[in-house]
Amino acid sequence: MARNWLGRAALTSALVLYTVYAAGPFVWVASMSLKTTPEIMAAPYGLPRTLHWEKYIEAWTNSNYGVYFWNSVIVCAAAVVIVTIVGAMAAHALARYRFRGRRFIGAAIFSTIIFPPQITIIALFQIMVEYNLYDSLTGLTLVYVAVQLPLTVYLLEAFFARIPEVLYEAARIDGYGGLEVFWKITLPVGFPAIATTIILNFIYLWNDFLYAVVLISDDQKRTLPLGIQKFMGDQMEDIGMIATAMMIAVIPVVVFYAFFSERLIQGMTAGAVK
Amino acid sequence: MATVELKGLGQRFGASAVVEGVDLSIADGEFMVLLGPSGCGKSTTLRMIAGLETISEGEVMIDGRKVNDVAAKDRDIAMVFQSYALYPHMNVRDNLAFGLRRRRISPAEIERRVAKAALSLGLEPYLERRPSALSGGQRQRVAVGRAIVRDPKVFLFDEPLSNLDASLRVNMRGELSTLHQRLAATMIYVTHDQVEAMTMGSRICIMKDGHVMQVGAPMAVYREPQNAFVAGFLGSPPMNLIPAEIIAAGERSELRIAETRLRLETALKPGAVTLGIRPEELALDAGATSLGAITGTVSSIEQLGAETIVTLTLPEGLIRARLDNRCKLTLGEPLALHVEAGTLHFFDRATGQLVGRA
Amino acid sequence: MAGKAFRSGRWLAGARLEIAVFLAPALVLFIGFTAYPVARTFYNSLFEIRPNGGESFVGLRNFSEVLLSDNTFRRAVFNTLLWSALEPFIDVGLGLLLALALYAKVPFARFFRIVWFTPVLIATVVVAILWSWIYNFDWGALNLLLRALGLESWTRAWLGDPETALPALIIADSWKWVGFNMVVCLAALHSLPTEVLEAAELDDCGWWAKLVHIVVPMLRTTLLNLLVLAFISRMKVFDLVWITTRGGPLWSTETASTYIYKRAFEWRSFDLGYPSAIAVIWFLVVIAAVIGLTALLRQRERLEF
Repeated sequence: MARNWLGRAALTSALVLYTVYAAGPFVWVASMSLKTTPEIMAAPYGLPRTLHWEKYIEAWTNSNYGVYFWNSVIVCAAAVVIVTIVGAMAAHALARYRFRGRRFIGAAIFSTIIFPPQITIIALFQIMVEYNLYDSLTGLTLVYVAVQLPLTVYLLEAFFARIPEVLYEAARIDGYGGLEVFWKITLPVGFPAIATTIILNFIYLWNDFLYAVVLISDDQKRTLPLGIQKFMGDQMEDIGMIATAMMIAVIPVVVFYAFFSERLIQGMTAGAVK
Repeated sequence: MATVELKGLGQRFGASAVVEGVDLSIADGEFMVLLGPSGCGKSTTLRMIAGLETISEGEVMIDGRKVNDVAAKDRDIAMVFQSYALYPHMNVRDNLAFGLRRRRISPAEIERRVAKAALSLGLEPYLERRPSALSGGQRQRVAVGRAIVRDPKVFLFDEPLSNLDASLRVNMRGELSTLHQRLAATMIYVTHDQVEAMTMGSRICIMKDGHVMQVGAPMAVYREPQNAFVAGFLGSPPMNLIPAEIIAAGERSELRIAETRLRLETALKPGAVTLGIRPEELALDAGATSLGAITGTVSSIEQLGAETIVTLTLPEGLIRARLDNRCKLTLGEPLALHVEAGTLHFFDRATGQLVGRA
Repeated sequence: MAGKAFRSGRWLAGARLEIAVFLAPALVLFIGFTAYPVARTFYNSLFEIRPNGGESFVGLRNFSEVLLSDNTFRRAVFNTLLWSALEPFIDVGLGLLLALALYAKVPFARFFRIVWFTPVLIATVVVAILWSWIYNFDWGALNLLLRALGLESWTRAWLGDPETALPALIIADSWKWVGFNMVVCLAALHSLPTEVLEAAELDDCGWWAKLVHIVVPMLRTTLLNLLVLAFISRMKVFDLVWITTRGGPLWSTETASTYIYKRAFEWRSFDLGYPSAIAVIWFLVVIAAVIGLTALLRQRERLEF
């Protein structure tokens, strides 16, 4: 009994320690985001005495975070909407039709999931410059769509292929054509998988740094991760402000997580098993 | 309301034919059952009528119009699937209305038809439910309702009862028959269950390996099978099929089954045949037209309550007989079963085709 | 049977057009922004490409230079492979232990799971800045902790020291990814038949024996998949390094990705051909690693069953 009790105590303290390790840094940044830099310098790990919410307003307006935030929102939202529709259409074609070249197209698209981004990034830079899409949110959106497309098609195709063929036959007999069944059957029946990919894609793109740093240079077109990095370079000293900026990037994701935690975890897990 | 005609219908993949040379005319208002073991091509035939399978050869005509190249949605047919194929994301009302919304029918008319179908199928309390919240029997009714509201030229059923449990199946069988009488519509029904075929069909079309073996009214097919396959497929237990030999004996013929010899009343072409005789035609006592008795050893006795199924072992094989439940039998003892005139069927040993009756 | 016949491939009226409509947008995007750039990178690797149009064919010169005389590239490859080889074991091992704790139904398991998973969602940019602060010499949490424990002599600028920079980054990266491995392991554990673990409970073998002899063998496929996935992801690592150390100090944290980026977009030379050659080589290394590892796993699988 005594040994058992000891074991429990050891386990509990290990779990608590890990929780402090996992959540501590996050709590720390959250507290710093509400403290001024002098306050932080005086006591980096003290809890904020007064909550300086005005720092968020300042970051938003004076430090241009409002612009970065909306750039991120616009690019991510547009890319997620496009990649969902385009990816679902392609997945529908691959899952529901048998045609010559189907396996080839599937294999070509899916194999790029494992490609390192470096194999495209330099050429993408050239292409975007040539087509006047360099330093434009439209260009970044298109690249984001292309980057997330293979995984999206992969996840949706697997799900769509499990929708019973007989539903489509029933719909055909009920008078619906090949294009209509996509809207009437595939999208509503495949909704759980679609929701998963939407969440997954949103998180990936919201956090992207590499494509943004290569394809965007104008300050007015920066996304949040770029904005934070720039801040880091420009104002190394102003730790308090950087912390606030970091929270602006993290909060939407955490809110997303709070609402869709199960589905999100599911999506991340599904995305892993490729 | 429509006639359906199949002319030399076939489907093949490369060299292998799934269905070949199917000729069948289905009259207006008829309940045609396509019956056969799995893999016989009955579902494929139905799906070719529906427009879900491409037709490799031959023609499908609905109301005298060739529909080979008409899309499923434009053939004005409705189909009930084995797995029901209810749309999981729609409630019962929308499942019923889905096929009508596409067809330029006024919302009021849709509403009226859905209400009528729901009433006749007892689905009114469930109209707002999703299929996942329904029992198997209720789903089945929705699937049927979805066909009824369409008021199509032809109803197609693809093994619609095989996912139901036994007692529900008996009920639905009755309901579908009633439905057919009430609507007087043309219906084509695929099943592997001969009881469904016998009880529901106006006519039965028995298929094997992609070919039609026989078409006819249920009792006609049962009484006068045209080949050994049909003979052995229908009936429970099915017709006994054992090797025998017809021997010329003066003006009449004689039938030899191992040691047993039966004197036939007519003259038949001598030679080796397959003898077919229904279990219920064998009796312990000789009747007025007895041709003699087949003797064998009792090797099994199954008492089913209303009747007893006895199996005799002969050197040639097994013979099963359906006997009165009062008979006293003992395992291992010899038993003679009498055969009456007019109950014997002879099939060619090689082709299985009927060569004579006696 | 009939269903299969249909699926195995028949054309229906108009199907060709429908397929084209459904596939075209994806194919256009795929070809334009993935397939073409890949091909162009291969093409680039044979040229010297100066800004403002100067482009001259150099054959395989870029490749010979990268492979034979580029010491930084060698260092980057070494660092990246070391990183890829080490971190998966931390991520998957710790993830499995945490998953087991949750599986054992400790109190507040749901709370723990949510908290432990949160780092996965945080942008790498944020993780990078956060950990560069934790590793700060003066007020970073790590040094403060060491000082509190009386280990003043151990303190250092963790990311500024070539000895410790790479391990420090590996720890920071695993902080982000352990939670992910945990949820996958947890899902795999929940899909195991409970009887096996209950039987082990009854046998009263120690928890370590249970872990090594029962849990790990039963989760083998999942664990191996996670290891491979972690390995491949680490071969792409960029953001974390770029924001914290930019590959320094003294190339101690240079990775293939940061080096390519530097050669393409940072250096004065600004030749896109040379970094393209590095990208091609690195691409082939990654693909070879993926193919090799999956083949290895398949083979082990076959041997086992």
